[in-house]
Amino acid sequence: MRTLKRRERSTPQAGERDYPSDPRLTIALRIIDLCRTISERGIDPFEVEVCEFFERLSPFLDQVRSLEELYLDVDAVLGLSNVIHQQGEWVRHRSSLLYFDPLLVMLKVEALTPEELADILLKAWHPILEMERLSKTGLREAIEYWNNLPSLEERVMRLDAQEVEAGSLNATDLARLGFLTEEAFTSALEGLWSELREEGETSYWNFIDRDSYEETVRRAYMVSFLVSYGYATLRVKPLEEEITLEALHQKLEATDMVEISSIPIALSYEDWLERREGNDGGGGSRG
Amino acid sequence: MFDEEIQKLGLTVKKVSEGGEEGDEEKTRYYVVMKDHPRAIDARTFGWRIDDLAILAATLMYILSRRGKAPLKEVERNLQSKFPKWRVEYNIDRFIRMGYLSEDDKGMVYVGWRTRAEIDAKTLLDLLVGKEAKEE
Repeated sequence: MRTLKRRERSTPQAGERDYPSDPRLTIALRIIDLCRTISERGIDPFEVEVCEFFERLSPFLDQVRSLEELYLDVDAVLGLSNVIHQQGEWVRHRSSLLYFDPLLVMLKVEALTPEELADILLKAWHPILEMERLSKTGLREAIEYWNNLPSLEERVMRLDAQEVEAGSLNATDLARLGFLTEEAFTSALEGLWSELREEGETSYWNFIDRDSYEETVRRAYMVSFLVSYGYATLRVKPLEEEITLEALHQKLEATDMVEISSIPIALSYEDWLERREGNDGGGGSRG
Repeated sequence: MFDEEIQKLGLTVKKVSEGGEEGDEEKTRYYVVMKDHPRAIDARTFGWRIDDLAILAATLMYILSRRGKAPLKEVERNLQSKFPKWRVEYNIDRFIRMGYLSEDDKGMVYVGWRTRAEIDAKTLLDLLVGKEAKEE
């Protein structure tokens, strides 16, 4: 019974069943559960004390009261017979050259590095040969497939997809997505403000234009914040078609009596390219 | 005759009996395998990472020492002490698809047909024991 109690604790099957109050039936059911666990989980079958269990089962047959109880007895005897069969297999395995104590194997695996384990596997590995080649049949099928394949235009037309308009992201969205932190943004803004203060009043395009379009867009984006937050001012001279930018040494407050308006400025790649080519021909470039 | 010819190419014929029963010709399969084992550099060209090889090695060692079958959950738990969980689960699924392992509906994993064809189980376990002994 010692072994049986141990198994009861370690196997969910044994614990899940509600055993009847009749001790005869309980013994038979517990034996059935135990044998099933041994068989299903590959546990050492010698942990079952078969002789003792047969002895405990032997009076059961004389006391059988119904057909169900008889089936229960048969099931228990079958389970124990199966355990004996597994004990035979276990002995055969242990006496074979392949027997290694599972605990020893586990400890050794634990002690080795992945490189050492891989090295062991490689030395015991004889991969199956695989050959891939084109056959006449394969070629024929490929031609047939190609000839029946609709043109790309037809296939694209059939795609059940919707065109989605490009969206926009603001600094908060970028910060939320982890691309920009508030600290980094503030620091970059302060750097640009300081640069603009040194320059004094300057052409907007000269200030934002750089050798790469991405950097130009980034500077234009940052300048828009400087202006919106009141750290710089933009002046548009419509006749000269000129936009100038100037840093304000003191931040402009909303209460200050100035006219505030919003100025949209288009930043197309073509215009940027044109300006860069003009600068290259006429003067030095920044960047 | 065929085996002799392909041995000249570094290959050999491996006979594998289904279910391990010798003599039943109908259940016997023949595979052409590499006669020698591949080098680590060859394994990389097969698309295997060192970690993949190590996980397969540890899984097979564990299952082979348990008479060729073990509960999947136990195998995974043991491997997870050494490798990341996601890599263990991903690789075990992959090994089952490739035939190195097989699985039943009771959650047990077994040595698959491909392991029987490709892996020399005796060498694998011998090397495991010998490896540490050599270092000691």
